[in-house]
Amino acid sequence: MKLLSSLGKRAGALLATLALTSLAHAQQEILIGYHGPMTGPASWVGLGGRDGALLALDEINAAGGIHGRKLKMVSYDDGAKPSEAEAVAKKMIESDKVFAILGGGVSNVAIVVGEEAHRAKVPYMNGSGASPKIIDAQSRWVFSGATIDIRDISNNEATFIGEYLKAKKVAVMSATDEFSQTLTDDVIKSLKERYGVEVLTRQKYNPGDTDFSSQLLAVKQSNPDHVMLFGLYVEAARALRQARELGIRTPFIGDTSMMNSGLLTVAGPAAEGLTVEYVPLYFNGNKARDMVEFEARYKKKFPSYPVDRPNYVDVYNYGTMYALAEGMKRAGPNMTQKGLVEALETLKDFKASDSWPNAVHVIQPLSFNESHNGNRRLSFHRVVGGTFVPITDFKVPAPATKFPSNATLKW
Amino acid sequence: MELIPQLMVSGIAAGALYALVAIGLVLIYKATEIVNFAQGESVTVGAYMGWLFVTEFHMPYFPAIAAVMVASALVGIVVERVAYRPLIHSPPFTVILATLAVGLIIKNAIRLVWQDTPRTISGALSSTPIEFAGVLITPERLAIIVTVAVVVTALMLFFRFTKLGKAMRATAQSQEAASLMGISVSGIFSKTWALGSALGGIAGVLIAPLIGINTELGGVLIPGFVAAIVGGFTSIPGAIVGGIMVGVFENFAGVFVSSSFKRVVSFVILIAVLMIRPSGLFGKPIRKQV
Repeated sequence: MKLLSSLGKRAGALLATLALTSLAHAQQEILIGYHGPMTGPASWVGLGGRDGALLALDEINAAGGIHGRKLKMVSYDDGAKPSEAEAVAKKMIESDKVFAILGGGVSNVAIVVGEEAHRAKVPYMNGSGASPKIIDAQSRWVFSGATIDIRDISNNEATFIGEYLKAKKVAVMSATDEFSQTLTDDVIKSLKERYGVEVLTRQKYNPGDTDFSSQLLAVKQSNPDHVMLFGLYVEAARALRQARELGIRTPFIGDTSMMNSGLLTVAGPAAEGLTVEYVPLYFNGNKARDMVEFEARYKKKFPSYPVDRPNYVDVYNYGTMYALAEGMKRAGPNMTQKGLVEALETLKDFKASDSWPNAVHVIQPLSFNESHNGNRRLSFHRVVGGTFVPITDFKVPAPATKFPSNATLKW
Repeated sequence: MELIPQLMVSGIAAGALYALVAIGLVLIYKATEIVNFAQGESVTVGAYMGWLFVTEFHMPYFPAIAAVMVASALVGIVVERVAYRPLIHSPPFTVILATLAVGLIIKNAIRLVWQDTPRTISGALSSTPIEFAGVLITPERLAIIVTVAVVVTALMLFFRFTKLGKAMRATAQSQEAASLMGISVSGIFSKTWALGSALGGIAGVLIAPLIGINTELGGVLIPGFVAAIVGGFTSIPGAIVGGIMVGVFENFAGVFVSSSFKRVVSFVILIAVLMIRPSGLFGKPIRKQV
C-alpha cells in the first residue's frame, strides 16, 4: 500500500511539474495567427506566404526571440474564399487567442479578417492584400506590410505605359478576380484621361483556365500596339505561350504577380519582352548580396521546393514578419496588444537587417509613422534572355494619393 | 489572319483535349455505370508522371508518353482495387462519392509531395506555328488532335475485334449475363479503370508542355464532363463530337458574344441538348424495368 501511495504522490508531483512547465512555456511564447489560401488555384500565395513567415520566425527565435519569448505561428487555410474568412478569424482570435495575426492571402479575405481583428482589438498585419478596402480599413489595429496599395500600382502602371512605352492603342486581357479587375479599371481610366490611350478590346478569363484562344484572337483582331495582361502568373504564362502560337508578336505588359520564374518556366521563350511591375527587392536572379543570401536560406529550409521558389509572396511575409517582430521588440517586455500597435507606428524606413543582425533586407523599407500603409515603392522589369532585368531608365514617380493618417484611425 | 477558320481550328484543338477526358468518362461509365469524378485527376497524374519521366528520369518525350500510359493504367488498377472494388455491391451513388474522394486524395497527395508551384516539360514537337490558308496551328496542338483520332480508332478496333474488347462490351450490356458466359466481371472492371486512367494520363502528358503542370489540371473535368453528356455519355464518337462542339462553341461565343460568356456557353449547349434530346446526341434512351 505504502509503495502504491508513494508512487501515486510522485506521479502527482510529476504531473503538476509538467503542467506548470507547459503553462510557463505557453506564457513565454507569443502566438501569431496566419491565414492564406493553401488549397485551390491561389494556394501558391498562401503556402509561400506561410513559409516566408516561418523562415523569419525561425531566425527571430534563433536570435533569442522577443525579450526572451519565442514566437509561435498557427496557420489556417482560407481557400481565398471570403466565406471562410470569418470562421478562420474567429478560430484564431477566440479559440487560439493569438496575440497578432499575419495575413498572407488575397484582399477579399484580408478585408474580412481585418474587420474581425478590429472588432476583437487584435493587431492585424496584412502581408499581401492590395485592395484599397484593406488599406483604408480606418482601423488602428489593421496594418499593411510589404504589399502595395492597388492605387499606387495602377497609377505607376499607367505612367509606365503612357510615358515610357508610349502606347497609343492597347488591348486588355484580365482575370475575373477582384484585384485584376480593379487594377484593369484603374489603369484604363488613367490611360484614357492622362494619355488619351485608346482601349480596343477588353477580354476576361477565369483563374484556372487552360485555353485562351478566343480572347487572344479577339486581341489579335483588334491590332493593338501593346497588350495589357493582368492576372496571376500561371494563367498569364499559358496565355503568353498561346499568344505566340497564334502568331501574336505584340509586346505584353503584365502585373506584379508575374515576376516569377514559374512564369518563365511555363511560358518559356514566349515570355521574352514581357514588362512587369514589381514590389519587393528580391526576385529570382537578383545578384545583390542579401538576395543571394535569402535564396540560399530559403532553399536550405525548404529543400524540396521547386526552382521557382521563393517568389514575391514568400518575400513579402518574410519581411512583414520582421516588421511585426520589430514592433513587439519596441513594445517592451510587458507588451500589450495596444502597445504593439503604438510601437509599430514608430517604424520609419524600417529595414529588418538594421535591427536584426541575422535578417536580410529583401522588401522595400516599411514606414508606419504616417499611415498604416507600410510601403509605396515599386520597380519595373523586362524579360530579356529568359530572365527579369530591371528597367533603369524609367524613374518611378512619387505617389500622389494621400492615405488616411494614423491620427484619424479608430481604435 | 482568317478569323472564322482560326476560331474553328483553335476550338478543335481545345476540344480534342475535352474529348480525351470525355472518352475516359464514357468508357468507365459504359462498363461500370459509374461517373468517375476523379477522371480530371487522371489527367493531373499523367502530367506529373510525364514530368517525372522526362525531367527526373531523362526519358525522351515520346517513350515517356508510352511510359505514362502504362504507369497511369497501373494507377487505375490500384485505385480500382483499393477504393472501388470493396464497394462493388454498393449503390452507384456510393461509388460516385468514392470517386470524388479519390480525386481529392490524389490532388492533395501530389500537393503534399510537390506543392502547387507549376512545372513544365519540353515536348518533342515545335511550338512555332505553321500557317495553312491563313490559319495557324502548332505541331504540338496538331499532335493532340492526331492522338485523339488515333486513340479513337484504336478503341473502336479494340472493342470490335479483340476478345477483351468484346468481353468489355458484353459486361457493359449485362454484368449478370457476361458473368454467366464465363467473363470475370471484376477483372473487366479492373481493366476498364486501367484503360480510363491511361486515357487521362495521355491527355495529361500531351497538354503538360502547352499549359504547364500543377495540381489544378483536373479542372478540365468540367468541359470534359459536359462533352460526355452532350455526346450521350455512352458513346465514344459522341464524346468526340461533344468535346469538339464545346471547344468550338466556347471560342465563337468568346469572340462574338463576350469573353465572360466563354465558360458559360458549354452549359448552354448542355441544357439545349438535354432539352431537345435528353439522351444526348449519340446516346440511346435507357429504359429500365421497375
